Amino acid sequence: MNSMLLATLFIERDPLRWEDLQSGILQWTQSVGGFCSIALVLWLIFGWRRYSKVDRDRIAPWKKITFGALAGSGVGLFLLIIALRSTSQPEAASRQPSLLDVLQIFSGLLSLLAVLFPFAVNALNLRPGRILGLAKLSFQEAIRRRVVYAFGALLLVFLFSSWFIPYKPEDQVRSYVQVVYWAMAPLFLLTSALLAAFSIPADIKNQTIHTIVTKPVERFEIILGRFLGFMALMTVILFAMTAVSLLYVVRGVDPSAAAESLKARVPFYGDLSFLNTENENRGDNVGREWEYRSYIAGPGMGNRGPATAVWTFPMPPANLTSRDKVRSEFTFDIYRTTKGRENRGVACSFTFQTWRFREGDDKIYEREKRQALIDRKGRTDAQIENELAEKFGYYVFPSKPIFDYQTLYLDIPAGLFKNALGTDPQRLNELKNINRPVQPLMVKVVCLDPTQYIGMARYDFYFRADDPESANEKLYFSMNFFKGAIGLWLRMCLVVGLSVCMSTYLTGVISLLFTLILYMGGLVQDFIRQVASGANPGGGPTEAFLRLVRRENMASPLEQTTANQIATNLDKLFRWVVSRLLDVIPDVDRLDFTVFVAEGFDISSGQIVLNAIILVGYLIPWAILAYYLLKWREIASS
Amino acid sequence: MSGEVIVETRKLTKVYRDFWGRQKHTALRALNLEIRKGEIFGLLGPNGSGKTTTIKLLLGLLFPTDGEAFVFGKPAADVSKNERIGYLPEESYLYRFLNAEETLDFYGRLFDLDAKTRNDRAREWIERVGLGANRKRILKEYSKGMRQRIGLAQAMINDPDLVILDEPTSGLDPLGARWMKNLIVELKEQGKTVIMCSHRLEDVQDICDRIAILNLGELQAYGNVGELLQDVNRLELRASGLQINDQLRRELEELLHKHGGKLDSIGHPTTTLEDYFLRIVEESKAHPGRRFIPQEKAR
Repeated sequence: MNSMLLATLFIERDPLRWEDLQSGILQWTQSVGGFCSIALVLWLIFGWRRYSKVDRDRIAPWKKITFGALAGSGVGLFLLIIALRSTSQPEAASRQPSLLDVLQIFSGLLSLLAVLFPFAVNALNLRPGRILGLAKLSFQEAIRRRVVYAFGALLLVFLFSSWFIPYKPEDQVRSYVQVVYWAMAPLFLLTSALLAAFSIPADIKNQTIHTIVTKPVERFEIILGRFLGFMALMTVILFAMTAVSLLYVVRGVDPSAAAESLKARVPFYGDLSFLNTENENRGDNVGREWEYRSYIAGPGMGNRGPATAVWTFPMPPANLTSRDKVRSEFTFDIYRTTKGRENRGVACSFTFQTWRFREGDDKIYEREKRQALIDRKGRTDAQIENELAEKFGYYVFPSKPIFDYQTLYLDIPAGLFKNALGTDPQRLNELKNINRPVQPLMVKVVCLDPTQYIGMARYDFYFRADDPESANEKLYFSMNFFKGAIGLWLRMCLVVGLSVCMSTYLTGVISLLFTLILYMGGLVQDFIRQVASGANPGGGPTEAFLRLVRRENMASPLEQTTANQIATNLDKLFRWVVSRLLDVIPDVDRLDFTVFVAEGFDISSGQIVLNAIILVGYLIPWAILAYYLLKWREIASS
Repeated sequence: MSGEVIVETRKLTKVYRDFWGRQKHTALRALNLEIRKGEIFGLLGPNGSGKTTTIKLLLGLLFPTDGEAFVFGKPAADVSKNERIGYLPEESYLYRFLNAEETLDFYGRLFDLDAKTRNDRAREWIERVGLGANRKRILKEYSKGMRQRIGLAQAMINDPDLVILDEPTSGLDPLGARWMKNLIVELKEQGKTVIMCSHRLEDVQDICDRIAILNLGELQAYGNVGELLQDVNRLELRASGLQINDQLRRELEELLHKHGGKLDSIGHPTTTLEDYFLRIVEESKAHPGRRFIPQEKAR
């Protein structure tokens, strides 16, 4: 059994799942609808009176009625909710949305529809031919202004980066992949942002836009054309640069590192819970600052029974049963309270069981296994284990030495998965009668060394849904490398979309700055979220200022004085503003797939599609805003 | 010329405001105009009189502060009216990285024309504006006059019913200016309506049917060119086959005196400088190698 030093994937935020989509859409409707309600209120106050009577009379009655009904009910509900929320007591956190939440979603939907209504009516006039013409113009403009030359800078990376990349096989692929993506990302993002931010302002400044808007061109076609043109160009360049980078990585790494690391594992993850620890969802806390992992103690530490980490898996994919064995991989952290034995790992036991396994059958399993090993009938150990795993839905690996942060593996008999996928109405009834859920596959890990702790997180243990002994691993890695570039492509869409939208109203420089600020805000989104939720120590800015002036400890509770109450309420207001800011900041981290490629993990198509949906959801409100800004803009007065 | 009104403005007013909405400058005040199908209409006025503002309001590049503007019966803000309009801005604001063919193809696409129509019209207009030999050169390399020509071609790519020309002869040499004027007349003969702004009053006088004179954003004069320029207090007499002499002058004075008038002046008519210039250029083409040698002064 080989040990590897590779593939340590840390996922601090759960990857998106299809199940999250519904709640995501509701949350999106609530946030975007809220902004739409505010916009409608402002428009009713300042915008509507600017329409002359003749202009108002010219709008078709059915349009006025539809818009009025949607906007009136949306804004009315919105104002009602604000009034109710300001008078009602805050509710305890609950998984179920309250009536006010439902009303807010409904009001948001109505306001959103009101804002979308003129946009949708106008969208009927959009013509693909015109959009294509404008896109082609943007493409030609970028090419003829020699923007492509900027990407020559990547040559520097290809020429000289190998001087600085570590030669150790275990780090080489990771470093190569990270270096090329690290070089490509700023180059592509900055170039895209520059191109997109300056295009429409330059058209307005040079008055070339006068010859466009005096044609039968809808203004939104200009936005779409610019966006699509730049995206088309950058996509072509990105594809070419990714191909060259892949060649550089594949040819540059040492053959031994290539054999070890040019992979695209397809992990099959479960949920992690704990037995005999302080909390079912968390293991023991050993005082490490980074709380990514929870720990289970070895025997004799505490009086609760053996601390156990339990991974519960959904029904495994059927294709796993066609193999002889299925690989499980894991990377654990060791926290030692004593030195332990020199150069020896910390032993752990691994128990695998399916939903068909009954408590107490382990003894029968052991007895039958002993018997089968004596009476082999020409069977190998692996065959015997496979047969028994299929029969009992049970398999034990009694002791496996664990090394700190090393990725190790165990090959599990495929019979276990056949058992999990099999039908067993009697067992189903049993589980129903004792009111226990069907847990298709479970893995229990117990630390066997006294005085030692083993730390684990949900994504530290997984089964390989792909075949680890496939001859096409290099090909899968290459495909995964291109999938990684899709992450960069999505970020490019974000930057180009934002820049084009901003530039419909702002100058090129300000649009660029705004886009960069939003993008960087996305990079530190976790910190902003912490500030918004008040989780950071020392409170908000006013409280922090008071503590600073009074030289008070950050951790000590504040006294109930009038000044402190004012400070706390001001901080509440500040947090509310920051929370709204969070709605505007893009989730950039999710669009970065580099770590998956570098660590050799497959980027699933579901993950890509979900992230693309999130991105579209983020860009839609900006596109609507850009539509109105350009529509209401007096092109010739700039 | 039919009576169908193509362009109509009613109390059209444009006030420029600052960021805070305070009134900064009134560019146009309560303009009432009617432009009919098939006529060449001239907008005249000194700089800052509101000519270009009027055109921009008609094209939807600016929004009126008050009043209304209609083109083909549709509000000026309606994008669909642009299907039938061709617009040549004062300076040819085109994409300088495109060549002539690409430029016309691009603007053809904006009218959603099919590829064949785009190609046919581009070829036709490139030849018609005399840029056949330069069709592959990017506009950055064009002279101002050439850019004005390709600008006109882009304005005509949709075969418009209404052509709006802002200083159409700007940047053109006298030959080009004459060609432009001939083209405008040709457009009129094809039944198209032309609105033009120009500082060159002789151009306007030559070709416009009706004019409006603006000053400080207000309409000062409006009507048929011939009628506006007619001086009913004076009489013009033209004759040929005669030389001026004292007897002729005396007899004419007597005759005019008899009818209650008086002779102001008598002399040989002069041609315009433009006509003289064009004649000289045409003659030089007809006689290559011929040149003018100034006579030496007598010593």
